[in-house]
Amino acid sequence: MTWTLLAALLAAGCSSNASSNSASVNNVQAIAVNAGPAQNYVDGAFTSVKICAPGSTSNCQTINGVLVDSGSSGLRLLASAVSLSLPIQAVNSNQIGECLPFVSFYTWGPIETADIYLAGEEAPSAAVQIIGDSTFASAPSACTSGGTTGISTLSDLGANGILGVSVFQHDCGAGCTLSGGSNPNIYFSCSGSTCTATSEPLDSQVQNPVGLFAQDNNGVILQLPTVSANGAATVSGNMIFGIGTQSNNTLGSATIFPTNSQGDFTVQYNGQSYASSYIDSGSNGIFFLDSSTAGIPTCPSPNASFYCPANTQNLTATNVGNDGTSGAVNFSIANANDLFNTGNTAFDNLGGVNSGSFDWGLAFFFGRKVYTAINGRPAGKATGPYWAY
Amino acid sequence: MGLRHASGFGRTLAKASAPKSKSGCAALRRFGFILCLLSLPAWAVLGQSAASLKTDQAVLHSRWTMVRHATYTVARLHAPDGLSVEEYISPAGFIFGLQWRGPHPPDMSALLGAYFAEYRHAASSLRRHFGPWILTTAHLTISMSGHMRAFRGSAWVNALLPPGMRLAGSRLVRNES
Repeated sequence: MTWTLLAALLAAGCSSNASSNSASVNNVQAIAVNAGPAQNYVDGAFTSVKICAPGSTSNCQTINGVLVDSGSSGLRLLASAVSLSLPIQAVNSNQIGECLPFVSFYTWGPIETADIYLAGEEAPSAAVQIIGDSTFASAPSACTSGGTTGISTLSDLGANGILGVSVFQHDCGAGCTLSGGSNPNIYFSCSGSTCTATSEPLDSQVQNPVGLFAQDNNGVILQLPTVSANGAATVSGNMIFGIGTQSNNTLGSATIFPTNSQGDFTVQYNGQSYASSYIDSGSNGIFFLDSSTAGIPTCPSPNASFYCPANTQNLTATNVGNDGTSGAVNFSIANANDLFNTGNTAFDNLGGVNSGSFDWGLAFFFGRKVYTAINGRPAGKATGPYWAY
Repeated sequence: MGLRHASGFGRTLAKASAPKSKSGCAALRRFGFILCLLSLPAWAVLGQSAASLKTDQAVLHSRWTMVRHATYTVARLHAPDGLSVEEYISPAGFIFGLQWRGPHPPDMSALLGAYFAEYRHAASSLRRHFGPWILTTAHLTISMSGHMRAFRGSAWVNALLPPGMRLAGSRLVRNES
């Protein structure tokens, strides 16, 4: 009886460890800023993702060159990068496809199921979007009518996929569980080549894989070293899973900036407040304001959405969280064409336009540990959604 | 000049423009009869695209409400899926621009009409660029910003901006500001 009690206590201790302090699990995933698998990227952080057929430990594939995106949620992989055969999500024999908008393109393709492995963590039976699958129905007009470009190739995306680790667990959320006019046309039910918008239960949606881990599942830290004013050819860093769950992911002295329900906060600049601002590792520069408001010229076409000042501009803005917490950010904007001409790929001073708001893209992440806490998950001394750095 | 432009390429945005006076008044009733009267002549002058705002209502599953400013009128629509669209109507009766925000882009092909091809071509021209954008094309100034679940964007016909107004980036501002 004593042994039984001891065994029960040990078991309880183990499960408690698993949820809050899992020292035995490797939670550090290497990331690198480089030109990416298409050799054409600047300010993109890439990692390798291992996927397996659900439940299998041998039918697996490791895919490198996957972009780490703290502005979206879930794993999306180019069909051209996936040789593994995965089960497709279907309802009543209709296959489920997704049209997910991004700011400069959209992704279209079927939803398949895979076990995702990152460092020592596993997201079992996760919904994964396959992009640019020529064997799947083509994008319906409800998807293409948004006007941006559908990504289908490595040269379009500059990456083999996107690993979304944002403040949201689900890529669409409650809106996609509704039907009729309340449905935002993101998930589609496809019969042959005909796809119509459909409701998609939360559990079936593409999700932030971190939230599906058995432990270290409340957020992620992206950590990159500083780079010089001319940038660096390549930079190595870490993606650390969990916040306050292991000795290597404590908040320490980081300041917490809660986001609003949209995943935004406010940035103050030159006496003006800009709501709808955000931090996003998947944006490749610091995108803020417009040329006339910022007083910085843009570059000639085709780089007209990047800034090209004659001399590097040293600027200060103030981030303000949804609870009023504020902190100043000093940043520099160099001539984007000059930066591109260095041949380097990692820049902390690449900037571009974004009327009426700030988007702290990957350039912001150098020299920082940036925490992204998932909506509704306790993470250290606060509950997500928040950013901290 | 505005008229000539609108009868050519300008017709495209105008296609997504003014409703018949009857449906316009129906949409305006909640804002009062006087506002309706003030707004009607512009649409009557426009004369065509009678069904366009109405068509947008059908596409977006919602109704327009109208807010009149000094030099333009804004038709605003909130769709039940969280998307909101504002169409900017000049005193001459042309829709000269639109702004939207929501979890996904609106049906830009319906809202832009013949301008859609120009929009789509420009949006596909970005290089080494993953993030918000503002682009000026032959006839338009267009933009998009945001991230998963929360996007926003705009499209303006440069030649149809009302007198006294200009664009700062993709934001409509008064000339003196």
